[in-house]
Amino acid sequence: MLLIKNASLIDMAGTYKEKRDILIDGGTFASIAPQIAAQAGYKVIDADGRLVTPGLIESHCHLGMADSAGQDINEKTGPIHPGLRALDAIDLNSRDFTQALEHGVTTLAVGPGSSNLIGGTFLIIKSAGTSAASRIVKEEFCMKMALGENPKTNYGPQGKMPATRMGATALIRDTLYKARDYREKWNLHQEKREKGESSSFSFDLDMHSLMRVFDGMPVKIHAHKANDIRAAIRIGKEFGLTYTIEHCTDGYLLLDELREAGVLSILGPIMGGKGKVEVANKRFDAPAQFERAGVPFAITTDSGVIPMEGLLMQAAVLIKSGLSEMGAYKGLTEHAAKAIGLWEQIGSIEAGKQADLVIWGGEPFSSGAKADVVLIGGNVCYWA
Amino acid sequence: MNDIYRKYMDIIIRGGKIAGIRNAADGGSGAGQNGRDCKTNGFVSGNEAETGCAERTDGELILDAKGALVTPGFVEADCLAGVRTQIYRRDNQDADDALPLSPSLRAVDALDFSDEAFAMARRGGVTTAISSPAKSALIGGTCAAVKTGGNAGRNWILKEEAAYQFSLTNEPRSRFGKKGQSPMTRMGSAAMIRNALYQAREYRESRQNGSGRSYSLEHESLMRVFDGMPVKIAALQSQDIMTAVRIGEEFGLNSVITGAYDAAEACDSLERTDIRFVVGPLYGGGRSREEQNRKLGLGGILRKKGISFAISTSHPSMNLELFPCQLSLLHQNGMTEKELLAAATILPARYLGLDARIGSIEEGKDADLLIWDGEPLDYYGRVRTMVIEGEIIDME
Repeated sequence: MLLIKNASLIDMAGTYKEKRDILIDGGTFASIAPQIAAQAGYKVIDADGRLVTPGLIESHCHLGMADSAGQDINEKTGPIHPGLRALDAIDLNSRDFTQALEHGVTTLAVGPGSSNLIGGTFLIIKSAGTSAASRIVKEEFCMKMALGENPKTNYGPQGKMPATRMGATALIRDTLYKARDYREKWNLHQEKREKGESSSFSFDLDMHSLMRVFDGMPVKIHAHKANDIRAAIRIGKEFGLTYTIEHCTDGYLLLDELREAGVLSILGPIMGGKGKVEVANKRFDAPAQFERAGVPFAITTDSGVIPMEGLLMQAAVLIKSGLSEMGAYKGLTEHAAKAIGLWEQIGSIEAGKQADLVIWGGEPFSSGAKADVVLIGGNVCYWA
Repeated sequence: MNDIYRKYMDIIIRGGKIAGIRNAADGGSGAGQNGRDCKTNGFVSGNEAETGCAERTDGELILDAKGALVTPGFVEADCLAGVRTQIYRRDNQDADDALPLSPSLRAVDALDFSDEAFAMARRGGVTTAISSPAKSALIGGTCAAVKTGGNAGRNWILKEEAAYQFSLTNEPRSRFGKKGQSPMTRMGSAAMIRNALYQAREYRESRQNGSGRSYSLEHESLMRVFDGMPVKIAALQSQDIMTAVRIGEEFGLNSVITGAYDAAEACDSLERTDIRFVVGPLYGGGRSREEQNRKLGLGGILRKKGISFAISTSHPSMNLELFPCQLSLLHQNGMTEKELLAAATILPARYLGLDARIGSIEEGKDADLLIWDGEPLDYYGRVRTMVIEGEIIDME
């Protein structure tokens, strides 16, 4: 049993900077109360009035995938590669994850980039842990898709599809139709085999991977510009996908449509300049606009686009531009957890949830903030 | 940014220049204790317009800073603003030309003042930017010094050709070497630069001797480095920094080394602390060998060794809007406020030979000022009012 005493707690479940003690049993929160007496055998950490929050969640990044010669984020040999898995590339020892930990990030969704229309799957990992097994939460959480300029500029100049947005969505839709068809054939094949009937089937890794989006595997759809955001909503609807929209740069221009479609957007990276036409409308106050309109969003660094050193600074800049402090917290905990389908397990400090927690040196969104102590699953993984 | 540090002062601006600085007339408001008095300035005559300004009939500008902190405008010594532009980067590729040696190219001929980078610069408190050709050539051409706003969007050029841009980074080697062209190696890079300098020097001597050498724009341009024209040499790895120093000394160049991630190591190897650097960006880390020492702690390390340096974003590598954020991060990693403000103002101005006009609040210099809400090194600090050459600037 581990007892954290004298926390100034923000639990993302209604408590804001009130004095609490937190009891952790094994890997989960057992109880949270104004006063919990330590008993024999308890390990005690005194937060000493410091701010305590749930571990932060990075819902979209590429950490641990760019360390060695070349890069491992984008398989730029073809626009359709659903069979790829970030799982097979990720370097768990990368210093990136230590940096994430120092800034209070305990869970990350890591995956392929946006050069491809369909790039492969993301995994979910913890930023620290004793073994690979303990760190990998989900080997294949979701499928990555991308609309907009990146696929076009990677393939169009080579005379390959997609050269245009029309080509991009056509190719995605064609592939999804084929995957749905493949799934029916696979299910039929399974049924026949179970009945002992003979059946032959032509296995295709890409189709086998992609068909899972018809069985609830979520999809991340990268889209900046309004036309791409609308295309994402359109495709999601046509194929009944469960999806989030990544970056959603023009999102503040079509908040009603996002709300109507029930989309959870992952906003960011917002710092870092405007390197292409499709991000011309990027604004620091976009999350504030989402907040005012009641449209939910998570906040991402898209690391390494913004390094992990910039995670808290980005949040500060968003707050400076009108986002509420609680909105920033939600973007990095509750909504981020929902974006990666783990709200039952993480994102708040409540009994029964995984004991991922940060004791902060100061205020997380103030200049110079860094974590003092980080717990993952009840284990101390970082102590400044 | 000279000897005045956190004192109440009044600053008189006339004709776009600082006309005088004197102790505050009424001590200002919000005076603190223990040397933490808010500083400067602002000269209240009781006639304040909405922006806190009033213009007297004798042409003096009056700005009531109301006891707020005032600093010189930030000087970005090394960027591609207006050259490698925001948004239209692909359509308007103006940073990288085709040859490894192109001394007659001038960034001033490319400058796109509609580049959003200038608005980003203003929001980041930067009043002067030195814009260059890219570092993908060994000698890319000359850099222009530009103000980032004012003058109704017209000519912002402070100096058309403020410095030369050389590069000893991996960029030229990988760009040309990949095509089977020189430079492919570090030896090749150094040799090609030295050869160009030899030829320019010989041309200069011939012309001075009247020995009838025919005119060459390239040599005519490059030979100015022998008359003190500043030379920025981009070099990140230790040996490249040492080569930059070696070449600089061989040819008597007025050089400053930019990027300089390995500055600490290089200075140790050379056993010198007098080399001038424009360091940065340090935010963002890096994976390649070149970027191994791209770390926020470098500022503190150099400072402990007594090495002076300016700080750069190298925009668009790090966005100009984040210029003060980088200062903030360096403050959290071992540098003092005073050092950081110098590294962002007077040192870059001096290295680029522009300190007669900018870099500090002194009589005779351009009235380029920032009036702050809060503290410059705090994330939540912001520039309340920006003044460029005495004109109040719209920062959007």
